[in-house]
Amino acid sequence: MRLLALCHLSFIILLTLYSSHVFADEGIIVSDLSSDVIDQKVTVDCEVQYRLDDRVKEALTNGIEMSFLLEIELRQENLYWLDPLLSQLQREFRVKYHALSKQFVMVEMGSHIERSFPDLYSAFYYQHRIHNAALTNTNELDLKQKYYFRARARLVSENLPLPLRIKSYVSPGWRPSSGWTVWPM
Amino acid sequence: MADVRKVLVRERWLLAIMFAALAAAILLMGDATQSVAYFGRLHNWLLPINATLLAVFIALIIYNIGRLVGRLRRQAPGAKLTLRLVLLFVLTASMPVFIVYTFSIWLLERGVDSWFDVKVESALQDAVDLSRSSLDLHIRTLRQQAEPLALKFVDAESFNATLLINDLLSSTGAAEIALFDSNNRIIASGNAEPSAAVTQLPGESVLQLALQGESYVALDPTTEAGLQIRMVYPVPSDSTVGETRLLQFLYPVSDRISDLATNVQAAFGQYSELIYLRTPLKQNFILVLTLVLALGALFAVFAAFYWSRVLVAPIQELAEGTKAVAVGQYHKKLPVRQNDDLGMLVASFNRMTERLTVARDTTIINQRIIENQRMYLQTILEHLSSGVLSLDSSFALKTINAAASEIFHINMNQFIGKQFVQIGTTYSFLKDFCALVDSKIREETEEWQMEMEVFTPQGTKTILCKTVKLPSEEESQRGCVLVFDDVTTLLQAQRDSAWGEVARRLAHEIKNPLTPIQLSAERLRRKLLPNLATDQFEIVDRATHTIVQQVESMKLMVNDFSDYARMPMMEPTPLDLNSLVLDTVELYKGDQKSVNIKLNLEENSLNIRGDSVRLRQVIHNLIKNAIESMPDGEQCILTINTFLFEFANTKHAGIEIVDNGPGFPNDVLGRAFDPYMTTKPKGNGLGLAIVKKIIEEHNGVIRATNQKQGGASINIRFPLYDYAAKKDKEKIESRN
Repeated sequence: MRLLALCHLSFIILLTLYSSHVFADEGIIVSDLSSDVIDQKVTVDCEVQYRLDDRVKEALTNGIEMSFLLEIELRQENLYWLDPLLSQLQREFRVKYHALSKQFVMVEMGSHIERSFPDLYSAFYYQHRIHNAALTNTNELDLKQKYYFRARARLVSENLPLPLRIKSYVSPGWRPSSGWTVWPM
Repeated sequence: MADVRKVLVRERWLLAIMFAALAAAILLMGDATQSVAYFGRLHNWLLPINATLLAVFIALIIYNIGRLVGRLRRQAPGAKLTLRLVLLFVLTASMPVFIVYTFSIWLLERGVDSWFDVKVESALQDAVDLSRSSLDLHIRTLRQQAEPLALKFVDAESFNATLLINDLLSSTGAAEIALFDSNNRIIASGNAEPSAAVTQLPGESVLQLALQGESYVALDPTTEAGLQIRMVYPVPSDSTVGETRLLQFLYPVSDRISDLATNVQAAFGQYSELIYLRTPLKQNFILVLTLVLALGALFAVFAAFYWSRVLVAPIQELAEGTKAVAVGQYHKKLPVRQNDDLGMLVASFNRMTERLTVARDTTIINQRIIENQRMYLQTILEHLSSGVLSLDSSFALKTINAAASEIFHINMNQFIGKQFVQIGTTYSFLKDFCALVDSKIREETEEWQMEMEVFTPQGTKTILCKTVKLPSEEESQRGCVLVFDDVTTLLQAQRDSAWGEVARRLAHEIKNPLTPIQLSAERLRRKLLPNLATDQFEIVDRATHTIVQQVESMKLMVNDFSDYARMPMMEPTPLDLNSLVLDTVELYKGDQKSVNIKLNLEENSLNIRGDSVRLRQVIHNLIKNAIESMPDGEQCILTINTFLFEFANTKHAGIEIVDNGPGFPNDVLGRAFDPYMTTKPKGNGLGLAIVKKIIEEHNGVIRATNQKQGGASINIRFPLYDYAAKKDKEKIESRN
């Protein structure tokens, strides 16, 4: 009986993980991450495709403001369970529909740059490429060690209005995320 | 029971804590629902807290259910009542909860829907449309002004373009003008405010549109500058190889219009957001309501368990108390904790147990008294020399003391519960005795007493028997007590005493005149015989001879009586009974014709303490008695056995003399040792009486019985004399 319950639980967990993975593939994708050294700094390039669920697009069109966050980390490989974080880059932007102008207003949180786009595609296309984003200085790297990059882009469900936030806890469609994508350095 | 109270006190605290937690959670949720923003802030705490509370309640209820099921299985007192009360409480609570829940959801749906008004929505939409129309009019005017200006930049160099832009900035009122290529690289740009930020170029889709030859005109909302009007026009190239360039105008909207439009946009955006969130908001409120009600309902179920136990606890105590009383624990007392009906019931129970305890104690004391009395009587009865039998109303034996069995040398205990006459059926020698007694106890209603002789294998016994009726109202207590004594020895002693007195008086009263009589008769012979004629001589001679002879004979008899009455002082010394027998029997070896003595002596020496002369007299008397009892001419075959006998932890030396004669007649057997009791024509009847007296002077006992195969048997027992023990005792005494 206990074994059966354990199998049942394992099946549910696997199913949840699988469904989450499927949503990650169809929603937001981080790809083509490459690194370079420019002026003694490790920089990365990558592309992010934001292909959102219709419900999310509908919410945006109805004036719901949404935040998206891109996280890029440089970590050192470790034999132990936790790889130490060497450097981290976060880029967050908010999107909101402006009914009067019929424009989607995008605000980059770090730089507070504000831009308007006539459609969502343009707005997200504007954010689709990260170019020469500096992560760390090369002198902080140990050549004997192995490092890797990992990147994730996601809708920040914590910033959603409360009713949608609760929905996002139970519905994976309301918390689109690319999941962590890993590249060796 | 104390455990139940402790658990209840602990659960009371738990209930209070849970109630406080529930109240706090509900208040928190109530506060949170005051505004969406506040709800949003608390939301991250509310859900885990409430989920934890929910889990705790569920765990507590499962634990309580498990415990109740366990108690039901054990059939613990009060378990079924607890179940009923819990079900009753839950059913009573669940109906209003369900009604309130349904009504609340309905109210919530209606309440949230009432926030939104179609007219407001329409008005806001109209306001937005109006704003757009107003701005469109302004845009159209600016467009007519700006669109032709794009042609001025055809094939314009960067420098020229910059000069042109500066001219246009002052003439058109544009806030910013920029010329850029298809790759979004700025060729020339200018801003009405030199300190303005870097030019913002249009996005990808605008760029694509413009590159296809279309112009792009739109409102561009900004936080800092408010509303702007962005116009992007393609600038064609005259040369065939030249690429298409793009010209962007950014016109400011007047502050007044911009503020109004921003307000309209804010209100409309907020309302649109609210409309969109209406359904999720309702779902959230329903979730909160469900959570609150679920917590409340679970708390009610948990409280139902607690209150059921509180209500059942006194009843449970009473049930356990009655159980304890049922198994005899009358001292059981229950604490009176409440001054209500149950408290009164508990107090009554305590009074009942107090009375039961007093009654039980009294009964125990009475039982002990009765038992002591019974033991006392039993001890007396067991040590009585009289036989005591008690019979019930149907004349069956109820109790028998030890003396009853000893008197008849039978085991009477086997007859307990049986009819008294069955003793006579089993032992034929008691048949007449039992029949007589049985008839008497059945017929007589009063006390009666009688003396009767019973012929037992041990000889004739004189039994003094009397009965007492036991009247009682209860059938089981009725019956009678039969007391009988073997008075043979007593009577014998009385007879011996009487005969001793007779012998002493005979010796005294008769012996004194005999000598003068004898002397007178001899004097008569001496004086008269020589002078008498022959015929007279013979008469006198015969008469005086007879007188002298009879006087002699009487003297002998008187001497025997005198001997019997006044035995000489005994001089006891330690001696071996076997040696005594051998010495005595040795004298009869020469008389094989009349007596043949067979000896069967104990291998070990039988040491006794006695007067050897008088003990020899005993053996002589007995052998002589046996020889004299034989019919004329028949040889007496005498068997003398000596043996060691142990009775009541005391060792005795025994001697048995068995002859082959006719034995004692039955009527004589019981009084064979009485003085003047003889069956011999010439016997004076003092031989066995003297023997018995000598034996008794030696602390011995003598018994005469008849053999089944014929012949008499005389059985004598002496206490064994322990030399070693005596010596030790003497040593100790000499030391002291």
